[in-house]
Amino acid sequence: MSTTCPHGHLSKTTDYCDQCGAPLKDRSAAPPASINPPTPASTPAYPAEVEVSPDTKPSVPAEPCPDCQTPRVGSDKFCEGCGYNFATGVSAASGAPARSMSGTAESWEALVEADREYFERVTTEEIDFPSHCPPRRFVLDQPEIGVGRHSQARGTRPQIDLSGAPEDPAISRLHAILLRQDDGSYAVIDPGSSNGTTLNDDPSPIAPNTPVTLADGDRIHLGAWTTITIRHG
Amino acid sequence: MTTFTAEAYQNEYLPAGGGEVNAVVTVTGSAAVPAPTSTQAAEIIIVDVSGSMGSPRAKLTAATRATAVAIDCIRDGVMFGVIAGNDTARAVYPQEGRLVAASPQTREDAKQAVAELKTTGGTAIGRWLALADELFAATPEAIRHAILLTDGRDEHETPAELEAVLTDCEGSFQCDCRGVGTDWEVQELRRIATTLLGTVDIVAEPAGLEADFQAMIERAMGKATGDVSLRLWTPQGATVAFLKQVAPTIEDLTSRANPVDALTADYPTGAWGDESRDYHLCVHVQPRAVGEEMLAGRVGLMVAGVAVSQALIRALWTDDEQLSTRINREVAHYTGQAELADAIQEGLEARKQGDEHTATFKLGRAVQLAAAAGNSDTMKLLAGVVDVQDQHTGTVRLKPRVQDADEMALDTRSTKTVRVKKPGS
Repeated sequence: MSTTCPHGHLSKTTDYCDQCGAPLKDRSAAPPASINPPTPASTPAYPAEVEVSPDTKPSVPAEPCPDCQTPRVGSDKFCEGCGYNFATGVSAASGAPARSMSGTAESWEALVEADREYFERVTTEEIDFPSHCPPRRFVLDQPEIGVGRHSQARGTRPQIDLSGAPEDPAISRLHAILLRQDDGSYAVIDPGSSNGTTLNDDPSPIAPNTPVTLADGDRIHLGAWTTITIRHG
Repeated sequence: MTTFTAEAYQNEYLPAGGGEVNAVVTVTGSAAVPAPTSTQAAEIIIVDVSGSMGSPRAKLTAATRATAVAIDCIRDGVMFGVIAGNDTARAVYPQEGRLVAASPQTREDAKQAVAELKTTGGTAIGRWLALADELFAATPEAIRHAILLTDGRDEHETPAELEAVLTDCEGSFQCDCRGVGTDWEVQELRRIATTLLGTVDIVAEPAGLEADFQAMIERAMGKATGDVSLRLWTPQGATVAFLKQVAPTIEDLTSRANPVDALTADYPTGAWGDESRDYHLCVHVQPRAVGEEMLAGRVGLMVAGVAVSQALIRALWTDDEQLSTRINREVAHYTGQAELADAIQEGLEARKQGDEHTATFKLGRAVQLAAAAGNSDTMKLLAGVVDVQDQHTGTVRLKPRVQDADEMALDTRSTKTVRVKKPGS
């Protein structure tokens, strides 16, 4: 038995949609929903690896979101997965439309991805490449932008917060800083992170506490698998 | 068998544009029979017999006596064995590289073999664990538990070797670790215990070992259901900021997620008996419009691949600030307890580095948090390291001289939490 949720997903659970979490009408009368996966393969106690396939969703063939690959629901304006605006092509990862604080038309953004090519180049230890890591997009709209992991103990949260599963284990709390230059572009500074920061294909880390100016398309590599691509739009 | 219930505590109201959902989920397991004799169990006791265990001689004497007490607590029919570890690992009893069923006769024989242990050589904990893993392999159906006792650092193998063994053993058996004396490394044993879903503690005085071994074995024998996982579903676009066990001890489970499908992951929690544990979950969801509702998480328990109980975590957007700014009592309590553990560990680390300013600040904050939460055990341990002048403002002075054992006890027990006081109790 399955139910269609207000956003058009087919849901196997009948209390809330098992895709987007939207409440379903008959949930008061519904039997307790199961949290078994749709295809209950024999689940070992500690499954080693599970293929994450984006097309297990039963919806009609739909245009995938360019940001997170979630299929577009009907003619929805916003992506159900990440809030990407299909009408304007604007990513909503930062919760705000992309626009520059300086008021000029140009804007800079950072695209954070798990980068297998970089991972295989640098990571030799017992770290597994994450099987599911949606790309994240951040609009660069501040003169100084921290990159790292948030710390509850210190009460700090960098603007480009790379915490959260799957968490890159080799990223420092404050790993790098993006600093706006006079011309509106950004430079990257490594304030002395434990594992260093590299740029593009250069294997040697950038010098600590020294700004390096970034051009459109430059790739900042940090941690075990994280690559941040700087884009100018 | 154990029956499970899961309950969620949260403030489900979020402000417009807000996306961080916090909840505490209490999971309670009730074993129908207190000593489930029907459950298959396997137990291995690993005793450090490196050279240092012989000086003072009381260390080995206490370790063998404690092992004997533990052997006596193993109930009939449980498959068991004893491993002696130094720079290699040796099966002391039985010697044939397998486990035997406990009976009055085999328990006697095992105690006899343990009494004859001699100390020599170094410390390579990874090899001890590898042998235990090998022995446990013959009892895949049983709830598998080990006790590891050591008095020193893992010096006779590389950290990478230990790490590789831990990766192999993870999920294969649970291991409680005990450090005797003050020459062992808290971080190292904590790493082993955390990976193997066990506890870590200091037994500063060898004489305290017997009671501790007895308690550990009794707890292990009380486990009725093995291999229980928490299953967490979150909606599309959501990220799990963290999932931590917060009672009885703090264990961050976030990185242990085993994905089931794109929206669901399992987090192993080991074996359960008659007990209750609390989990703090923080999920970031894509904000919806004011007035809308979303299921932000479904937390269930998976026992042998079957979902047995679940709790729902909800998000409801409102423009009523009175609703959205309230912090749930359970969430506030455990946020404080997690900060307490961090403050202790960072304070002790700063003290070690000679940074007295940070150490005083962090340990003062720890005193303040422990006092506010009524964490009297931690308070007593803090008093071994600082002189408390005012616990409400966190004003403390570092003690000029601190016993190693006091400092290590505070460090190892920093992750022990107290539960929320229920109203009226």
